[in-house]
Amino acid sequence: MNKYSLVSLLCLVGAVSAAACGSSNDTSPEPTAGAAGKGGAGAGGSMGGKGGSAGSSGNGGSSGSAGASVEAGAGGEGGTVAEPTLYERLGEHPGIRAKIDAIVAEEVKDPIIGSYFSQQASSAHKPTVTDIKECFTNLLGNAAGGPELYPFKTTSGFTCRAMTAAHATLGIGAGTFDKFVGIAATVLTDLEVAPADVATVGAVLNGTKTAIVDPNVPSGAAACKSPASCSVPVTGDGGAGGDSGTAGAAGAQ
Amino acid sequence: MARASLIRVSIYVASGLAVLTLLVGVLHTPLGRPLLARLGVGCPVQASPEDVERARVKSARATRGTEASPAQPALGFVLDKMTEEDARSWADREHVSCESQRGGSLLTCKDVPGSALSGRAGGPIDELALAFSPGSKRLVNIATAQYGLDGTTAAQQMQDVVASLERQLGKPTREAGERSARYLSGGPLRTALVRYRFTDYQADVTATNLPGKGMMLREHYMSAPD
Repeated sequence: MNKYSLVSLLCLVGAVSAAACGSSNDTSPEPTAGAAGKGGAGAGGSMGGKGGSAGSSGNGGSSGSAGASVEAGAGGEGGTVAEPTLYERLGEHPGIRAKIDAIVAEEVKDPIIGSYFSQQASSAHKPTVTDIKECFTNLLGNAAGGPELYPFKTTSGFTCRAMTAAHATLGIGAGTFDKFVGIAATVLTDLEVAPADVATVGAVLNGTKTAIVDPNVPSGAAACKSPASCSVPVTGDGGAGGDSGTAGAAGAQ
Repeated sequence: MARASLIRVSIYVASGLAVLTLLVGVLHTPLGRPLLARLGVGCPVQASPEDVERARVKSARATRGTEASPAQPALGFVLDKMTEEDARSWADREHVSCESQRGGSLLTCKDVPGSALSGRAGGPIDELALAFSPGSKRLVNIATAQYGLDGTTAAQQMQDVVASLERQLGKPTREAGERSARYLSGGPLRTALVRYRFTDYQADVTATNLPGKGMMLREHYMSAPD
């Protein structure tokens, strides 16, 4: 082997090492969650208006298109006023952002989940906590039938990543993911979001589970203690992302 | 001759790898991370204990109540006083399996019997997390989780925990949902919530219907410093 080949080999090794440090902004959208942004009502959520087909499934990520196929529809002459859409019931972009702010505020307080967000407290880190909130808001807004796009570029210039890329190196177990969703549901309940809408939002989140959870991380505790209650239907009309794995504590990470 | 060349190449490659490993390691130190950020490369490692505590305190301050707490129930532990060593002694005494993480600022324990948590109503818990301030080295944050409960058990245990808290803290700052099996079993992610917010202490008790996994009962107690 001559010295030029050796240099090339070292450069290749260096490039692989740098890539292993973390994922860069991956703008390639993944198979969509097929959530409400595509016209899905998700888990029992009432969409109002024309409604749509059922909700989340798939490998996370979300549609890159504006998924506003559930239109409220105006009442015609002598007709009834259409019910607000999920997007409208969540308060549209400002309302969704406020809910995301509240969810993140509670998630960072959890001793385990907080560690997945806290590095964003450093302004030297990308994405910042503001970036994450903007990404999350657009993800949910898009899924709820709003005009938001996902992936998209935040105000700071950060490009929101597909779920797999964003979480690939974090080693998130199933128990941690479930707890995250549980805390999100708690916050939404506290903010007086209707239970059916909480379920729909939860279906959107659960639709990303397979993209986020690392199957090599132990999910923790024993199987469901009460099999009958563990067979609670996941959705009304369609496939939400909740899987049928064991109940798990996140435990050690 | 060929063997000598192979050995020489192997030495070069190994040296190169060592240098690159050192470089990548430096890039993950607090000194190197700003450079990584400027290069647009996300750093995948989890936050430092200081980062975690800073974020927790910031969030606590944003959500604190307006009055000081009359007590700070915390499953028999003492917030702002207990150390990790105290917690380990407790675990040994109670035969609880725990693991230290984040440089000793987090202790996670599994399958904790109710008898090991003095003053706690309700059954054994699947997961207990005890977080210590990296500055004061004192316990500042506690979270528990029980998974796979049926609606009746979750509602009853939640009611028991809340009753205990009410005796010590008075009426909750906030309640939402219903603490009943009928309500919790009514659909995915149905949640009952009880929340206390004081200037110096916060407590939350929640029961949530996790689709396909039964009910999760979660308790959270933490110090809310100035």
